[in-house]
Amino acid sequence: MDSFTRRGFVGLCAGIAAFIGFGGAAEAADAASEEHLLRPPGAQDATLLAALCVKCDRCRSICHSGVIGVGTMSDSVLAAHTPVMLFHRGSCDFCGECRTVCPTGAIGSFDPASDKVGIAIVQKDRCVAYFGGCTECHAACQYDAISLDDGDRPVVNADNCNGCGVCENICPALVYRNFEGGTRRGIVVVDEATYERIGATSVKDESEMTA
Amino acid sequence: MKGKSSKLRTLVAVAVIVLVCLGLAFRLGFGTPSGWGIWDIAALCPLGALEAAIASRTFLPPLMIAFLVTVVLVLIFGRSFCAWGCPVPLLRKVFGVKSSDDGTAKPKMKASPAQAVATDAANADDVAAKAKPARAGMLDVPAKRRGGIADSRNWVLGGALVSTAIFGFPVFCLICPVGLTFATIIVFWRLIQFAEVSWSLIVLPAVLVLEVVVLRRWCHHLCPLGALMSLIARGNRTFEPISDADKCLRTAEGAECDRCAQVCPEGIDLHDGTISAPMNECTRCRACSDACPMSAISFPLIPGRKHSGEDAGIANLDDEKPGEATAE
Repeated sequence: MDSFTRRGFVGLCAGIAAFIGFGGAAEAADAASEEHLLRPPGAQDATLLAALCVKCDRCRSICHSGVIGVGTMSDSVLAAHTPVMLFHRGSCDFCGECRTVCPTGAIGSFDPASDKVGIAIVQKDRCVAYFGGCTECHAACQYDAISLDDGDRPVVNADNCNGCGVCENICPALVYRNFEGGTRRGIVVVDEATYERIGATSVKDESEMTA
Repeated sequence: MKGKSSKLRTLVAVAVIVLVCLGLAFRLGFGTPSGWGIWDIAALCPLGALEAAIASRTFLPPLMIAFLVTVVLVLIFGRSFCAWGCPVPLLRKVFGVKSSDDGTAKPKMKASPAQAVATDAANADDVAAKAKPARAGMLDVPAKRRGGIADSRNWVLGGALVSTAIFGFPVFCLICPVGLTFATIIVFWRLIQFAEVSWSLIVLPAVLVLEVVVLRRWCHHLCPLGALMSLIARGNRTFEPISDADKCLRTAEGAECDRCAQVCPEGIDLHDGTISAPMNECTRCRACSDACPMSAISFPLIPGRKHSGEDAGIANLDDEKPGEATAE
């Protein structure tokens, strides 16, 4: 009995030490990567989401528009397999199904009128309106967040934009101008931190987006 | 040794994967064993739920409800998930890995007379451990002590929970073989559907192979999910294997038959409570029932009368040794 209690104590300490080593390595790897992911509407902040999401895939698999994808290990160690918004695959109509099925509360309530998934930014070197004529995003936006300037080019009103992503989803720039390489479209939804850093809803080229 | 239940277990484990894939294909939101359900009714992996609760340091009703659903399921069905739902035994079969889940690789807890004499002077508790083959011998404990603090699965469980409290994210979830199996299915699904390429396509299978093929005795020595379900299953009293004393060769005719104990991957001996693993380790795999030449073993919803005096020896851990039971 004694030997087993001692053995148990030593083993438990070894188990805890091993996991602290592993957890610390995961956290260090995570801290090294800068994360600007777009999360499903109502998702908790980054810290709480990392704590609560058990990567069960329910939100992603129920999403009828297919906009929810999985984070990758390149995003960060902890973001891998968590839900991220991929507007090339769909756009969000705030149906709330992801929140309904989330078993841990990692996705909370969301008000499309006041909360934001992100903010759309026009990338001028990609946007077709700057080279020819295109008003697709203006026509698609349901929140009066995209107006047209004198040259019929899209201008995003950050207050109205909630990051539903319908503009990025519908944007044909990648189709018409993809000879330049890259995967970005003429209008791209970014997270609020990135928007605040840019300080405007339009950028000259991709370098400003990713700076 | 492998009976009809072995095939049935494989089929059920495949059915779980098929159900998950149906959920993926038709956007039904079934989820994966990490968190599964339909509409807003969900059950959570008990370890994932505990880790999430500890990591978030907040009280979230949906999480607690989904956790309690699983607790109730384990209280009713014991550790059935380990034998029937978990993809790890299935992966072992796919990889052709000699599993520790069948009788041939099972730790032999009964030391033979010769071995017992040879180690007579040693600590009696150590005899069984030392008498076994050297494979992963460091982590072996006598079946009797499974589920206690000497059980290495509980060290992993303790490490998982403590590290989660320190770092604030579910640490074990990152390497859980159940989660990784379904994550692998999903990343390959997205590779085919959207040509999405990521490191996960290489890393996930690599970690899985390490856990399933290299750490062969994962289930019995390392899996913290099994350990946690064992702890919860201490309250389980339904569907436990019962040997009918009138049919059993041993109790009815006095024959020296211990086929059921030989094949039990968990070290449960229905006829000798002094060496048996506690009943909460039972995964309802039905290997004992298949092996019994008299078909004496059944899994009734409510255990009826005790069929023999010997049966009384295998109570659940918490019934007999409160000091040890609470050690974890």
